[in-house]
Amino acid sequence: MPDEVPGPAPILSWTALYLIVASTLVLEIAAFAALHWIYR
Amino acid sequence: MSTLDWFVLLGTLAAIVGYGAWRARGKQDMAGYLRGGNQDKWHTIGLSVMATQASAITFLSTPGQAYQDGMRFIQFYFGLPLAMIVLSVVFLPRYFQLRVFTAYEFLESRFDRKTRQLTAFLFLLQRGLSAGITIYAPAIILSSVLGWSLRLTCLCIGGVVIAYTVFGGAKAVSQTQKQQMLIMLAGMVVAFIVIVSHLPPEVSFGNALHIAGTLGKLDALDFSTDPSTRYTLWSGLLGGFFLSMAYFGTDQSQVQRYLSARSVTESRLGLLFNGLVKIPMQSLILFVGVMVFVFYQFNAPPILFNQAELARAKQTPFAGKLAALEQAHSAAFEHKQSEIWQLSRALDQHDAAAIAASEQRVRTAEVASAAIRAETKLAVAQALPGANTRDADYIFLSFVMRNLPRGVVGLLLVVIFCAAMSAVAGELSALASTTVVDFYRRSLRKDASDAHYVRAAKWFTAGWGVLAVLFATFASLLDNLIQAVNILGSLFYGTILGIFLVAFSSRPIRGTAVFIAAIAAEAVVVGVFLGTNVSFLWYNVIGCACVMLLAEIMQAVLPRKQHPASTA
Repeated sequence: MPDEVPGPAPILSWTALYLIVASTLVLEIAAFAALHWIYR
Repeated sequence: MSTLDWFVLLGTLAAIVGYGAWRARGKQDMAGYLRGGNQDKWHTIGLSVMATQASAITFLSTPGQAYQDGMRFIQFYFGLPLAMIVLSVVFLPRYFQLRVFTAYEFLESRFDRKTRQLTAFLFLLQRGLSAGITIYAPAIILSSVLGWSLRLTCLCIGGVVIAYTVFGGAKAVSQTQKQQMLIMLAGMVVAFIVIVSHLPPEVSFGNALHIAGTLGKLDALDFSTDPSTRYTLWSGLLGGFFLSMAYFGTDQSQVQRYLSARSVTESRLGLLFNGLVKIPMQSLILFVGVMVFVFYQFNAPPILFNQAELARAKQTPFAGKLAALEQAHSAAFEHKQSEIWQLSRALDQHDAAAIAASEQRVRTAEVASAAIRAETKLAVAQALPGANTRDADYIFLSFVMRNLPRGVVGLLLVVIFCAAMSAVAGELSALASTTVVDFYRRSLRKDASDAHYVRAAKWFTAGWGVLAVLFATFASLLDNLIQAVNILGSLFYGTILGIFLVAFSSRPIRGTAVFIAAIAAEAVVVGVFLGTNVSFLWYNVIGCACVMLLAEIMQAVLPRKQHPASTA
């Protein structure tokens, strides 16, 4: 397949990277919720 | 502006443009000119994707939005990280597999030429008009606050961008965007630190947050399920997800950025980088606006941040009324300021009863102050029919020019110019590549040489650039058109995304079915826009769902002989 252009493989697996991005979003929303409730 | 500010502004812009041009020097073939020679690494992709999205208005309007409405705008970005994951898994491998120059080429390989060109046409229409707005919107604010000529500001932004985009193509765009984005990020960090350091020394950062929170500026989340509420957790997650999918996955100004990666791996990492950094970056910009708000609780704010309009209104018979309102505003500020100081002291003493009582008084004082500002806007609107009294876009720049030290003013102007240039450059390069690849090479000159298409792409880049500058220069005469252009984008994205999602699915749906479905879905979205007050983020979901559903129905009802059973 032509998409196999040489490129460095990420250190983590793709699944781990996707999980990191998704869980960062969850943490960010939690942080905004905390900000919302603490300083209201 | 001081000499130091001019030096910082002109020196930085010249250095960035010079660097981009130098990196893109030498003869380029079509792959080099339109895809940057596939040499970019993930950090260049990530930063240039972010720079394409960040227009000058991001830096001018977002802090003002936080000043007036608090942090709730952040919800708009909640769907973005999830969209980056889906694009990495589904879209990117196919684009790289087919070695496409534009996203729309993929549609012909999956459906047919008419579906490809319909989608490419929708992109050209929407992006071609919005390129003018990308120049005009910051130019009107910069020219008003700095006293520069509007036309000259449009020409300066547009002229420089056209020059380096025509000269260096996609590679110059990516390389300059990378530097521009780093400057933008650094500039906002500096702005935040300087603004916080401008707060009174007796007020701790914690107290500043408490004051902002008391006045509702830290209410980031809205759990309302009312579809007419613009920014809620749900519209942000779902509508924002579909909007981000459409924008990053099907808008050539973004697709071109990550197609210039050296491999699909670098491209994916670039998008994931965007997914990780975007929300913190937007939070920082919003936080800058919140801190400007806190600053103006201790320092008298102007009654209207658009000072040019206020000055014009004072030349009319409304001058007396405006003077009285300014006096009332000043008295209201003095009263509110004393209440804020009491709150700050109560916070220092951890006196819960005093804090609660003080919070209530501060809120009441803010309501009184806001009412005077609203009355002033009304008076200006009456004095100058048709005047722009929505001054949120002017808050940040007006604050910067009045309060920040020399050098920092220049740096923040660099941020705004970088943002304008990076967004316009991405748009011009994408408009040219779509015109050449999807129309000129596909339908007009099929067998010309590579060098011919590069020359054509340069001419089309210049042509789109000149059109954008002309549009920006005369945009002030076309107020209604500007509004229409802003709405136009959100009307088309859902439909375009729907076409792409059908294309990526394994469903045996052919070109004619999806073509008819797309036109019908667009009619539904326009109907929702005209007939309801549903927030625009939901148009993306509605348009996309309609295309997918109607394509299935059309495929089932269309005569079989028009669409052989095999899938592309």
